[in-house]
Amino acid sequence: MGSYRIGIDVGGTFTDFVVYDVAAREIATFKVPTTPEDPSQGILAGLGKLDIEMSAIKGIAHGTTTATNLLIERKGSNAAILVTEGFRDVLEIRRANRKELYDAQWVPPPPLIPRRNRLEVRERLFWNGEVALPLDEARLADVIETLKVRDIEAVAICLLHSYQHPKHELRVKELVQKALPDAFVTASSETSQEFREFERSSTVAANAFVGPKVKRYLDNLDASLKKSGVSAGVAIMQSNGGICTVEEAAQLPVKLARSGPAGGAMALQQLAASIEVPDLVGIDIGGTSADVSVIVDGRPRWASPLFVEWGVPLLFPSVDVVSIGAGGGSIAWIDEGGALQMGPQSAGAVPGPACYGMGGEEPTATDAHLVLGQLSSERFLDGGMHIDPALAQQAISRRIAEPMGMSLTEAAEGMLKILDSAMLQAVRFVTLEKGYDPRRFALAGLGGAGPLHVVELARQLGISTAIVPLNPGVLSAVGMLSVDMVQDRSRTVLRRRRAVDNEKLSNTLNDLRASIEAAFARQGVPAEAIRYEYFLDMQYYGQVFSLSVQLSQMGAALRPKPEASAQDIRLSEEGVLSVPLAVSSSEPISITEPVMAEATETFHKEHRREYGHADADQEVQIVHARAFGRVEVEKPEFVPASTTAASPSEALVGRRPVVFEGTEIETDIYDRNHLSTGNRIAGPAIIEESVSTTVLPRDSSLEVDPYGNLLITLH
Amino acid sequence: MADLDQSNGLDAAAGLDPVTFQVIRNALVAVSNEMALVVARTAYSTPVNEGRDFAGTIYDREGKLVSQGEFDLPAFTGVSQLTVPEVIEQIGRENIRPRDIYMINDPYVASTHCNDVHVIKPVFHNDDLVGFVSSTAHWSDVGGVAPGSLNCRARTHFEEGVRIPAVAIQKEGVLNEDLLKVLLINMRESWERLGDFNAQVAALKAGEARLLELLDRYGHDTMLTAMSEVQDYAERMIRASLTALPNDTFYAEDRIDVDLTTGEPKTIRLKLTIEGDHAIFDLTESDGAAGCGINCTIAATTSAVFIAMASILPPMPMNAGVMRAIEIRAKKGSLLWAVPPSAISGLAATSMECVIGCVMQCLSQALPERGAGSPYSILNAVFAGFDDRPEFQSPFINYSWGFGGVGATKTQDGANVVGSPYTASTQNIPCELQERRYPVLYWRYMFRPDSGGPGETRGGLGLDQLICFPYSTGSVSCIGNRERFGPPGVFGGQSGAKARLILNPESQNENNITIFAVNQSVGLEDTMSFWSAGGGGYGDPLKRDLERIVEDIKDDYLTLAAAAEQYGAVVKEIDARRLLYEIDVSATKALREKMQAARN
Repeated sequence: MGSYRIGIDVGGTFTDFVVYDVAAREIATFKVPTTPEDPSQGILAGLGKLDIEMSAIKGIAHGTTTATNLLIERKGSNAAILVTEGFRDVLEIRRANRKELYDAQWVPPPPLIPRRNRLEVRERLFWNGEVALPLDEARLADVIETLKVRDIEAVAICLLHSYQHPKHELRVKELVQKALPDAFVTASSETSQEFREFERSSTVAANAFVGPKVKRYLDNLDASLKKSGVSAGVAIMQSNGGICTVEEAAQLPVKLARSGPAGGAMALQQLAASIEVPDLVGIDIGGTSADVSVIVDGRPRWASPLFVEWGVPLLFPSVDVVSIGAGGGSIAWIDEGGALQMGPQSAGAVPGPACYGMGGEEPTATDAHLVLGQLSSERFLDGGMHIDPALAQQAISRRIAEPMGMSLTEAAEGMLKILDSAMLQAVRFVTLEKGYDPRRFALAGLGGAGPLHVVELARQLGISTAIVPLNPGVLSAVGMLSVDMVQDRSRTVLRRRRAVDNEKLSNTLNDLRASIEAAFARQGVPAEAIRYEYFLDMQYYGQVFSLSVQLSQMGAALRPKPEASAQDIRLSEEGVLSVPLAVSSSEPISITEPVMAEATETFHKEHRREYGHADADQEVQIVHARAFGRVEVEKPEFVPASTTAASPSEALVGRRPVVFEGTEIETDIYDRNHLSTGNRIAGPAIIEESVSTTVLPRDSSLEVDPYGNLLITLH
Repeated sequence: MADLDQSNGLDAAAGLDPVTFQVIRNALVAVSNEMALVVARTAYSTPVNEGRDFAGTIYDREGKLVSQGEFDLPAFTGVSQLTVPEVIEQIGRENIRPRDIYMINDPYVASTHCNDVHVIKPVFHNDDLVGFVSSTAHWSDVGGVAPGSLNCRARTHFEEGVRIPAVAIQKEGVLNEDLLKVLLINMRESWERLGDFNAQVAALKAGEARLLELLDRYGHDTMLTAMSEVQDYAERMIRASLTALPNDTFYAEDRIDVDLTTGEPKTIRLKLTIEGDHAIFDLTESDGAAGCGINCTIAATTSAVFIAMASILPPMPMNAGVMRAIEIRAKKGSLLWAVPPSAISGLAATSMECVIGCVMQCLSQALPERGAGSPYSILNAVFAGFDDRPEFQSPFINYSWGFGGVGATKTQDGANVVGSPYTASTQNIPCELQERRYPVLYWRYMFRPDSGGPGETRGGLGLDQLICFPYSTGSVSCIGNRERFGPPGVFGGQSGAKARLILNPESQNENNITIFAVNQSVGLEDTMSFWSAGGGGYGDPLKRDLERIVEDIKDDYLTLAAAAEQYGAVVKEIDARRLLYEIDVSATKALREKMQAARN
């Protein structure tokens, strides 16, 4: 009997499986349809297809969209939120901002919890924790009675200034939980200890909203796996790029909101390591959206807060994935000013692109690829689906080419260029706008449609290396198999440096560390296995955004990791952030004046690098203290294949005309499954595999590396 | 789908294929977005960094607006039409050099009020002037009588802050530090202003670099063609929108609460004429100049028309091309075209809002499907003084925005407490932040039940803020409107509830300092109640669906009493805890008939 580790990524349409054979050091992949009602059914069906003993499964890593879908589709539980008296509408007011600036027709999406279930608690703290109004427990009892009669399943609690002073909030939680022992009760200071009442309310409300259903799902999954003979534990992928146990995930289910994409970013990190390219942008293009993530100096970047959708911020660090509404299903149209537009409307899966022949009449990007000869009408999805070029031509001619006075191929190429321009902006957003020159990156094309666009996008960005990894369609599941266990904690300080008491700051960091240690202890991890990383988020007094300055380089108790570089130490309130350095420190942290002086100096330097100016005379404010705890887990190892004598011609499956920049060229078509390590192909060429197609234009060439990745050089 | 004949104009643009055009257009918006982001991240003024009261814009070599960012304050759009042409005229085209930076806030020629400071940089590509980038931000103080520089009671602009004509704050890379010193010494909390200025300069640098990259990538001629074509494109868009409207004339009026020198309201009157693909906004029948700070500059009047058009008409890019299809008429020297030394610092909350309201009403009549009731008028209360808390011990200026209800549309109730299209890019400042940074405490920050303008669809609810000052004494100044006349509804919809600013309400020390308060002292014992208006309703409230009324009652958006009074709906409470209510159908029918009869 062998031993296996399995990565499972549940997506909207398919559940991806990656099976790693520990002895052979090989992986196999497959997909089964997702079962939206209870995704654990799809997982069991997939496991049933495996020809192995369930007891041979030594570990399962699982990425889930359950939390995300509950939030986006507003299908969570009957939840309530208890708030400070006078602040009933924080969740609905949000920041009083608008998504559509001008449009009088725009109305904000409904809040996660309606006003009727936002109930006030009489209490108030001053900013410094002094009591302005004591907690009125008699009135609270009345509120609890309301919760009872309304059959509330989940209760969020968010009281003002609880980010530093949780005493009232925790007392309320105690009383509510006592009165409603079966309810999912969650306090904001347990989900996030950062100031800004709306963002914190949103986080805890989301936790309550998804809590009961995520917990039920995870319990179901756990039970059914045990029943079918799987004895190994299930690790759940969190938004922070690390895994945790099922029990831990059920406590803070909102931290699973970016579970799937986080797996993709971690896979990108492994890809960067295996091909020895430290700076890598990944673009994962599906039917309706494109996700862009970035690896800088071998590490993914992070962002906080995370926006699952407009108006629902979640206050904790998540792997930074920028999502735009551009994909294979994006529809082409001409606006009232006569300009050609792509999306954001998508034909979706039904009716789908015109070429699907399922009634779609709007021309989509997929139709354009087909018209240009980049997609095969016979071998689409391994021949599992027939697509009709005539329908694609008809849609593009009627809707775009004729009205705009263009030829069919001009129109199809134009559609793709405009789609590319939207994707280019997204790549520029994660590179240039964060101070990185995109030309030093390699670009990886992932998902069904990423390999179609990746070389052209690279060319436009001035990038010289494009990559189509092995298994570009199931990369998230691959990533989940090889990530660490990670816990993150933060707490607002919000004081100018001169008002910061070093001892109190040390205590704050040690509190965060203790909370991480306790979380790992619950998961059976001994304290000595944990590595800690510490940050201070800093700003000039008066600013709202902050840069994160990492503390592990400083102070006697804190030993730096040798490969530390300046790029690692950034983290900003909205957008950028990089993984901090690791520190193995068994002693408590002690913040001293030299540590603070060095942190301040680093902040000035970073501010100058990021924005071009620094202000040494201006006071520096400490915004948040952050800590990450990381525990390494066993990771798959892959055996590089050696170069064979096989010629790429063995993978040649045919020739067809393909349009490249206005010229139709008779082009070689290859089957990727029959390519061997060391094979080189010069463009123009098309490489087909079961779920995607790589377009290799002229002036580019590829080589198959020992891990099966296609490394493409642009000349 | 589009009227396809509209595409013909595009082919005429020499040397620019429609695909390249669209790619460059997207890129220009991205440049503006990045400029805005730099300001948001590095500025020191709370209204700028938390409030996002800013804009990043691109102009062609003639100073015509080409593009603005997606997150920019809409109020700056119309203003932007005038800013750079004024700079070119004052500085002289022949004197414009690479690495110059200009600054201007002069409201009478190029700005809204003095707080909105524009910093502008010419962009040269291969020694050729190709355009300008500009960063605008609302500085939280530019001097004058009132902290925050918003002073409704001012009689002339000399009481409102420093007026900056078009000047070169930097010549060929050399900063004019003397000039900057003169400006800053006249402003409160000048360290914040310097931080804002640096942020704006950093934004210009980023904008210039991105624009030059585009010029390198697409070439000089293509870019200049594209920058001009972007304007033609906007013109085609608005002409298409106007053509779809009936050829007719529409009338509306709206009132500012009071001219403080006479105690009488001021009326704004609009006659909108649609003629084919052209529109004339005739404001000449509006009242004459006021003796206090509620006059509107022509730049702000233009912005107001833009904002309201953009909010009712289908989406279109906002740039100089739009101006070609519309004509705005006003009398120079009147309320809506202020000339020096008329005071203007309260315009944002008064005359400008009423112009927006009039345009929305007229366009709603022309296009009922996209019509809407008027939104609340912005309110801006400033609390200033000296912070006595031990770790602070410094002067402060605390801005408090009053967001409110916006107007109902044909099918939807108006949103509660959200930015209006006018202040759309701004966001509120968290109470948790305000209470740390300033010596204030908020006892309440929530909806005002019953404040939405009644209608078949209801206007959004206004905001109820209750603030005290537990650590320091100081003074309060405010700009606002809608204490006497709520935001109007449309098609029989009624006005939203009115705003107020009162100290110690319902106590012996009640003091109605009003929304036009300037430098009113407040102390440790005082509590300030600050209400914003609700949005105007749409359609007859007596026709509002009873189920929607019951849902509003369950959410306490509406009280039982108001359900009867505003909507003629008789609803009985069965068990509020269980959310059980019952509609008395016959009593409702009778009440609605009685209310209908009383109208006739």
